[in-house]
Amino acid sequence: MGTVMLWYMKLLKGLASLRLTVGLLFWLAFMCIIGTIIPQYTFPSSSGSSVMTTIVRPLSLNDVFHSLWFLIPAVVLGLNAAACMYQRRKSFAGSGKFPVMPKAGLYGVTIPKENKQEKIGADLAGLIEGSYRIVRHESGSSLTIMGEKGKLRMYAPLLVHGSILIILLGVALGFLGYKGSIEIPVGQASDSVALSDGTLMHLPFQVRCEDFKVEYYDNGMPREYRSEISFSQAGGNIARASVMVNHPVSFKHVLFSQSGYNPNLIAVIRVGTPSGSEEIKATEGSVIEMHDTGYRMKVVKVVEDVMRLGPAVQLIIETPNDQKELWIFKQFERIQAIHPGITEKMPEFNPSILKPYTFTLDALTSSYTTILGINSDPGVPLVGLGAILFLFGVIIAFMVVHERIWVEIEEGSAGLMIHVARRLNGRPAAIDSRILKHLQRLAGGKS
Amino acid sequence: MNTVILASVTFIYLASFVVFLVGGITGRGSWGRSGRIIAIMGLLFHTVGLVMRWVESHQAGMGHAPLSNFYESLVFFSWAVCLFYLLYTLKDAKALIGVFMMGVAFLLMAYASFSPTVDTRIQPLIPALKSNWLIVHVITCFLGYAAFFMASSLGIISLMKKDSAEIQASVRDMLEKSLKAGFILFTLGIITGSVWAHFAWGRYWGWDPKETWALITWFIYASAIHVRVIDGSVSRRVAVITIIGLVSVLFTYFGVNYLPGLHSYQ
Repeated sequence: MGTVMLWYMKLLKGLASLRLTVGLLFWLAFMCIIGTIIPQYTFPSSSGSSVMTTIVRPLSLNDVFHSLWFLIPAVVLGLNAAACMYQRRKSFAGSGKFPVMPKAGLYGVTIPKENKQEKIGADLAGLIEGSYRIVRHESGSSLTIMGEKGKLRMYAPLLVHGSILIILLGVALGFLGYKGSIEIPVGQASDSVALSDGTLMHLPFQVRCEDFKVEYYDNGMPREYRSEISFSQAGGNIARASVMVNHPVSFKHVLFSQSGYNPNLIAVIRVGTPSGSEEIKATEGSVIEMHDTGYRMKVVKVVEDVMRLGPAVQLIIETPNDQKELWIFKQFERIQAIHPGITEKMPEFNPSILKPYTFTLDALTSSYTTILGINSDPGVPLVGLGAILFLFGVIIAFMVVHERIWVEIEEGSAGLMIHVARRLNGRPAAIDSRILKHLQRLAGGKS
Repeated sequence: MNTVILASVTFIYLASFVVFLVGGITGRGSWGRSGRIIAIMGLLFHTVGLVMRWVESHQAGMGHAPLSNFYESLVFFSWAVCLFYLLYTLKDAKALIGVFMMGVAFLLMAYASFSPTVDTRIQPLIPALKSNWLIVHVITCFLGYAAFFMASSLGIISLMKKDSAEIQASVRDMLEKSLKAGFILFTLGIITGSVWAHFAWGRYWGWDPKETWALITWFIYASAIHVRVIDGSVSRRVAVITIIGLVSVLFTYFGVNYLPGLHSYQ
């Protein structure tokens, strides 16, 4: 045998080792513990304490499950399962042949010559029959009868280890996909997905949020979140769907699930000038250019109730030379009546402080932005298949017992020599008491 | 009404535990048999309490299986532990195993019924919990936990009892059976949980602390099964690994609530 072959055999034996399996399982468990102790995906690259900069980040412990510490053992576990399957191929290589009777754990008797081999064989086969499959094998002067049941158990390790490979393959395929979220205000469309790693990508179609509803129980707990969405491409609507928690929607191999929502308050602001007025609808963060004067209005806050004074909007008005803060209240007249002279004390409450404008908050309406989870994972079918096969494999491995009973009757000079052996899952096992008693009867009490 | 019945079950389990304890100390089989009869009574009341809670949730217009919050999970966990003890001791009461299992069943019920931090009220389901997968996931996981508890208790007993080879063989046989049952059930629990996560959160796995600790527990018991194959029988090493697994089960259930994640019980 060549050196390369020897090296290959050694490597294969080492890879198929159960001790390696146990070591890898414990190592993966340890890495998982690290992954729950150290916060994951949270550290920006340019900041952090000395522990983070010297240990956590260089060792990728802030992203354990994508680090080599985790991925390499996972791959080796897959190779371990594959090597184990390869080693076990010997069990199936001769599956069409008659299984040779094991020499260890034999029970033997010799009975007088007058007994006929065929008759003794038929009697013993009768004792084994029932749920066993009986196979006869004649070789020279010996007759062997084998009863077998639970043969499916032989294939269980193959199924279990094969399914682990399928699951790992499915997980690996998942790396070709993407995960993220898309935020769409009601009435708007978007194709921009914020990916889990912080980058942005565009879907090859548009998703429009037609409506979003939150239903509540009487005690205020949320009952249901529902997004009505539509998909469109090249100007035409393709499909409509309702997305709810536990009821995701799949479109063009992308799974959309209800992940969250943001309530948006929309302020209806009237900007009055001596020549007329203009209505502006704005949400928090909106920036509006005021063309007449070149001023710019930034909506800082839209609040349903400020200090029990009712709905209000906080604005920053930027002029070419200055900027002014302004709070506009919907119930300004009521506030003035309750607190006369408030605009002198707090000029930022004065809606006409910035000439020539007068700001009024006409209304506050609410709207929602739905947040949909996006997942395109081509590995899901494989992972699902692997999981089902694994479960079947484990159930067969634990619940089914592979049993073989051999009875060998050999004609010898002293009489008929009968040997019996039994194996449970390949291990020697005690002989059935009925067979033992029968053999003892035949031998006249001698064995 | 269901909480009253379930609270009373706590005392029945306590009685069973005490009787088993006396049986374990004195070594008299009659105490063990009495402890088992009390445990059977407790399980019957427990089952009635669970069914009544289910019915009462329907009457309250919520209509969900009693498996949705921390209280209900503790109660079901305790029920599963008692069930596993009784299933595995049909032929022989085995007082020492009863001490462990009924002790755990009692503690879980006592925590559920009398801890001021555990809310016993029936609550409506939040959207994420409105899934039939939840029922299958929780049932299989807790039956798996209970079987692992059984295996780990037997692991402790097998390390304690070195004197009798016969007892050792019987304990180790039960340990192996409960280890296998736990592994099948817990694997099913993880798979059904992944299916639920796929529908609820759009991904089958997200490295949430609960998911991760479930995987850690699974890795540990998978190691125990492989060491069982290496050693050819349920060895001392297997017993030790099942005890390590018990710590992991406890952390998967209780400890993870102190880590931020989607599974934290409210």
